[in-house]
Formats: sequence, structure tokens, C-alpha cells
Amino acid sequence: MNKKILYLFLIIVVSIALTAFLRLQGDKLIVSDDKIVLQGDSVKTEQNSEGKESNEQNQETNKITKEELFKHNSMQDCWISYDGKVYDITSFLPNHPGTPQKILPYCGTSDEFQKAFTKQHGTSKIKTLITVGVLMGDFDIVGEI
Amino acid sequence: MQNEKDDTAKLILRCSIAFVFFYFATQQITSPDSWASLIPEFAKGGFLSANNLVILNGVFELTFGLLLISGLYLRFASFILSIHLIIISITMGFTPTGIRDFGLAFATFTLFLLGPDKYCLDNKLKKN
Repeated sequence: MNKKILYLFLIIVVSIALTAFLRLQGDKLIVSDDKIVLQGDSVKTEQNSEGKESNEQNQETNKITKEELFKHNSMQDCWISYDGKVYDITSFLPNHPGTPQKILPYCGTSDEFQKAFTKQHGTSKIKTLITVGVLMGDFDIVGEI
Repeated sequence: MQNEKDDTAKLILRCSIAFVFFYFATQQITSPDSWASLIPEFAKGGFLSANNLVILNGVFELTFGLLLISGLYLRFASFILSIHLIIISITMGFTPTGIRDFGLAFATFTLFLLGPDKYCLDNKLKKN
């Protein structure tokens, strides 16, 4: 019995250590060229001019302009936003039961997509967005097109 | 001979289910943002943020996955995990993810019914 508790204790220690390790890995940022890659809760930007300047900042909220969102408005690159969460649903488009053309007009939009989605599916299927798309992040959507 | 096959079958079931839990636990711990929207409303609003709840869930699945794979407190671990999966599948509703978790919940519950096999720590420690 004592051995069992000892093993249990070891397993808990191992899982905590693994969690710490995985969290550290998750916080690492992937930065390439001038692109900004979001990972975890922080944003890192880096200039490509021979690596002269680098800048790191933590942001409570990330912002994306409607103009930037609207750039992703095609079959090959379709981003939509629901409730501030931006999803890349490009790979799902061909699999949409109601044909891709039903979603295509709303690619690159936030309010328009949200209205159309709620009208068609109600609010019960919001959770499916995470399973069919890739969550790009939680953003404040600012500006106008 | 039959017992040997039964034990091997149990081992395969145990390890494959544990692998599923490891995979999802790793995903939840490394990128909680992607999972935060799946936290049900009833779980939100406490002192923990949605991201922290996801990480906590990841730690829970990792710990119980380790219990499964090692065969320690197997019946207890598999019962708790099957309840956990049932709650998830009910929360997810009639979606592909919900159906998958429903199947996994009953596979895990089968482990609870079968009990420890000869490779489990439970059995090995009992002999000592």
C-alpha cells in the first residue's frame, strides 16, 4: 500500500514537471522574417534588417483591423471572426454541408459573418468553429474597410 | 493462453486510451488559447480564467493518463476519466467531437469494468 502511494506521488510529480516543461515550450515564439507569429499570450516582433533591431512586448489584448481581416476573403484564404475570435476556416470551406459558396461572401468579415452564422445556426453551434477552423487568436477588431 | 490474450488486449486498450489523453493534455497545456472557447459557461466565472481552466484540465488528463498507462489505481482512474469524458460529450452535444468523446468514454468505462491486467502496477504491487 505504501509503495502504491509512493508511485502515485511520483506520477503527480512527473505530470507537474511535464506541465512546466510543456508550458515553457508553449511560450516560445516563432519569429521569421518580418512576420509576427502569435503563440501563447505574448507577441514578439522582429525586424529583418540583418537582425539589428528586435522588440518584444506583452499585450493584454491583440488588435486586428477590419482591413487586415478583409484581405483573407477568398477560397484559398478564408478568415472569419465571431465574437472577437478570428478563425482560419480555409480547409473547412470545401467540406461545408451547405456548399462553400454559402460562406464565401462572408470570408474576411466579422459582423457580417456573425449575423449570417447566428441566423443560420443560432448560437448552439458556435463551439463547432474551433473544431472546423484554426483559431488565430482573440482580437479587438478595429477600424473600417 | 486465453488469459494471456485477455491481458494483452487490456494492455492495448489501456495504452491507446492513455495515448489519447496524453495527446489532448499536451495540446491543452501548450496552447490553451485554442481550447478556451470550449470551456462551458457553468465552469466560467470562478477565480480561474478560461485559459487556466484549460491548463488545469490538461494537468488532470496528463496525471490520470499516467495512472492509466502505469496501471496504478486503474479502476479509480478509468472511472473518473470516463465520467470526465461523458460530461465533455454531453457539453459538446451532437457534434463529431461529442460523438467521439462518447465512444471514448465507454471505452474508458470498459477499462473500469475489466479491472487491472497482469502488466498493471496494481497487480505487481499486490504480489509483493
